Amino acid sequence: MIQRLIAQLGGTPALLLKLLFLGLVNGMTVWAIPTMISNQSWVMMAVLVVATLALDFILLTSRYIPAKYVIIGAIFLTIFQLIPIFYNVSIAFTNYSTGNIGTKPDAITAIVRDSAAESEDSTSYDMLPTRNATGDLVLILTPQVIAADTPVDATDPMAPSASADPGLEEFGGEPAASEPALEEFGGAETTPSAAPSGDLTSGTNDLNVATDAEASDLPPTYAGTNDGLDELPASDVQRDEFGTVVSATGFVNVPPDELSTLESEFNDLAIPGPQGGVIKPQGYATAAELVPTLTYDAAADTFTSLDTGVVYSNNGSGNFANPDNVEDVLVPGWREYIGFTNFTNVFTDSQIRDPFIAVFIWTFVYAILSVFLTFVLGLSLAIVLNKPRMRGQRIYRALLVLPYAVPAFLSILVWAGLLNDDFGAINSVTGWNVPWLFDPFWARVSVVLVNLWLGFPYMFLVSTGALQSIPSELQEAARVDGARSFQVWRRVNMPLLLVALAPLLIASFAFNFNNFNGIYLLTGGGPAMDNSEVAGATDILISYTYKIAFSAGQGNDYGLASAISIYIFIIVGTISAISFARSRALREDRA
Amino acid sequence: MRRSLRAAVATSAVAAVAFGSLLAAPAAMAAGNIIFWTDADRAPAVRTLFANGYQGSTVTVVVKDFGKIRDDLATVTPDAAPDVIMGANDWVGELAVNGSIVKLNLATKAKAGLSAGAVQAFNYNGKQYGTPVAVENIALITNASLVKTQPKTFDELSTQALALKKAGKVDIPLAVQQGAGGDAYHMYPMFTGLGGFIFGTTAKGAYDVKNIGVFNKVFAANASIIDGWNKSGLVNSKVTGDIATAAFTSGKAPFWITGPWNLDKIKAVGFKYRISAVPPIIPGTASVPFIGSQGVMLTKYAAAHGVEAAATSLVTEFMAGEKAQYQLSALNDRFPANTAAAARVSNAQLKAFGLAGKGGVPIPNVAQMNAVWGPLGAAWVNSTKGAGAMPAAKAFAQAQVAIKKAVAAG
Repeated sequence: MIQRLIAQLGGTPALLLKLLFLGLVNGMTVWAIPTMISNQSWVMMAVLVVATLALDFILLTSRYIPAKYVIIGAIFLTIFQLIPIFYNVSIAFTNYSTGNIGTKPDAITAIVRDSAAESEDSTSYDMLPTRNATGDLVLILTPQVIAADTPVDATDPMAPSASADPGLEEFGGEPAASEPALEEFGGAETTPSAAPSGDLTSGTNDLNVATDAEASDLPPTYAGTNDGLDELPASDVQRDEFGTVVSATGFVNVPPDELSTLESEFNDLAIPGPQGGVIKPQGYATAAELVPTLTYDAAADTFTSLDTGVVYSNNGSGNFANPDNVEDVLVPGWREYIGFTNFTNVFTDSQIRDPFIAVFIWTFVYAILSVFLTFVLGLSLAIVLNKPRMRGQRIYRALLVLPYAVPAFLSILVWAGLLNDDFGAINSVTGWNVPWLFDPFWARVSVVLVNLWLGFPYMFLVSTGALQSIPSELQEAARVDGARSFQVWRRVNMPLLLVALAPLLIASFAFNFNNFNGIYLLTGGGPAMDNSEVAGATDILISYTYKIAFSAGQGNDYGLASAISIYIFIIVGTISAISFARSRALREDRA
Repeated sequence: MRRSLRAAVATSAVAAVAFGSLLAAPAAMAAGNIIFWTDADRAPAVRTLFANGYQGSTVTVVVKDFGKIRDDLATVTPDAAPDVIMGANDWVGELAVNGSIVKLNLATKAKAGLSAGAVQAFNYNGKQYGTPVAVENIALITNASLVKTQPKTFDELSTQALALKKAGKVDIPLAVQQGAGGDAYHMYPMFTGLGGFIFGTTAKGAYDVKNIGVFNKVFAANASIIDGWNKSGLVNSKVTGDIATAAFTSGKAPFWITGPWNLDKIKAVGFKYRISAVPPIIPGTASVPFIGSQGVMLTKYAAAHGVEAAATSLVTEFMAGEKAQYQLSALNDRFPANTAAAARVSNAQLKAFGLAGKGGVPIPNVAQMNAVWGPLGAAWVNSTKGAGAMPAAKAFAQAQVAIKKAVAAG
């Protein structure tokens, strides 16, 4: 049937399908190349181009017939297995973590940009983008002042205020009456108008003269270009009823819908300001004078602080740092290769090392218990239900597979509710008082039991399959030879079962060794152990790694996480290799 | 064969070019487009605000899981990266040291129109990294049909709650969520009420992460009060969020500590209720909640995308304004950070939450905060898990040491 279909598809339709497929693949490559060039990902681009050309060459010629069957699988293997592994390993040798995620040029740009500071008495400006007679962009700038009559709410945030007892309103039932007085809300300092640093009234430069004078005196207005500020006569400036400048004689406003086309012109503007800084647009309607506090020396690869004179140099591990004070680093840093530091940290950093042994042992106990218990229960049920005379066999089997059919994370969350010590269904139905999740011992029992619930249907299924595949002649022959049922089981069934199931048991072990969900969703690794701040009593290596990498210290540490995951790979890989070698020996011995 | 090969190559080359240019075309049109990442709750309001783009630029709203906005920003490819994100104030430290978000300049007038505390919450190391749009905090919700007179002190609260429990009228005297993993956020009013603080501040007002006050002298002197709560069953770490919600809404808990995200459930209860601050535990020390603030931030990608001025304007000028913030608040049940928009809020319950947040403390936005939640939550869990609980003095002293170690290891 299938062969006939293939024969039907041969010739022209097949060729067309093949061309369509190749066209799509080539098209995607053509599409991806400009993006990759702009991202400067040269290695990926080379891989992509070589892979596409190889695919074209092999599929369009008939010189490499065997390769036609391998090439697509090989490409997918590379994309989904080799590249992630390569990437993971390469990250393990970097300082990729919070504060060091970008490239060095990005970091330099960000440091320069973020270091441009508003000086103590610098001013924000209302900004009106206009063009002069020659069509050049000119910013009409008016210093922002706050009207003197703005009420100042001087609430002391920590003092119990008069409204600490706010005559509580009762909600519900009938519609609530609206409350007359609105309370200022949110945050430590509840002073809306007194900006903490930029106190306008204390300004000493002549731009702020208006704030010192009568409130009715409007601040002067300037035309700003890269040549500097040019004060406009008050008669040339038109204002609306709020005092906001709406136009200036001799300048044509840039229409609002053209603002989005001015990006590069805005970027080129750097108007020398009265504080010695540079006035730059901060959007479409405001501008501010910013004074640089750090300068970058590209030749020496150092930053120099203009305030303190400290020279920050490249510390070799992805940051500009003050050589006299290693903790004084500029942020952000960048990604840098740091050799084996992440790998050695596991052993030298007491935070990571101390609980490691306990977690390591518990990981083994958890994985072995999980595999053993699920296997014993699954196999027992399989044997019981394998009796041909049994009634309702199918119904029982369907019921037993149910836990497997429900998504694991859902079951785990439901179990977390059922096992709650004081309010969970299990303790309240049975009248027990077992601290399922809050006592280290019982929490460990809980995670194993829940894993048993989740895992036995799988073992039941594979055992049923394996049992049914054992030829009944062998058992009959054994019985004829005088073996009792236990002997038949021990000498005939079990060895044959193990040959089929050993690889699955090893896979199950590897899975449970890294069974993050089973731990994290049920107990979150808890309850906390007395002697460790990060690891809890039920934490296995992978959840412990997750906590170290993502919730300790200063945010995410991808480099360290990758290094530990490589250790885990080595452990699981070694155990699997040994087990496979032994199970192969088993097969050769008995079969 | 030769000829068919040539034909094949030609055909596939044509297909390649056609397909490639087809896919490349939209990329060329992307100039003048602001990519805005927001969470699902605020997406409708944001979409409405920018239905016609922003000042000549188009605005593409991308909806993400709230927490994913922060995580994905570290790993996104430059082309798909956002120019503007909606985020929480406690992300600022991490995103700023990553260089993912850039420093802004909030103009004097814009700043004056916003709650100063909320503005400060987006200030990291003396630099402004975002415009706050909303503030939120937890409050004490009281079942008014069970509790006739609102307790003025925590002692009164305790007496009333335990009496109700003893009379069998309620199951949980004080519904405040913890669970096995702990919840330092919801326990924070009790934490501050006993004199605890997380980080001290330097003379300049920045957080001093070396000065950890989890087990400071005042708190240490009051720690035995927690043991009393544990013994009487007033506070129990086995109460999870689900249990607390179910208990209060079914009338089986007289008091519930929660935030405005549960307003829908609060409004649906069949009895009268009051919303207030957690009463003081020690005379003269307020039990203040954390103030969380959400705001908009400008990413480093805006410059590369050629929309820096437009995106900056959107963040510092438009989103700081009354119109945008009122609209967000109306659709999202959060208190606006803009004071003019806040004055227009007509939702009385939301206002009551606002009052209960008075004096609250912004969640520290330093990256070291990551090292605090776990140990501090665990200290509460260990000291309030009923029988076999650890003395609070020991639990919190341990947390202090753990946090100190983790911060130093940073």
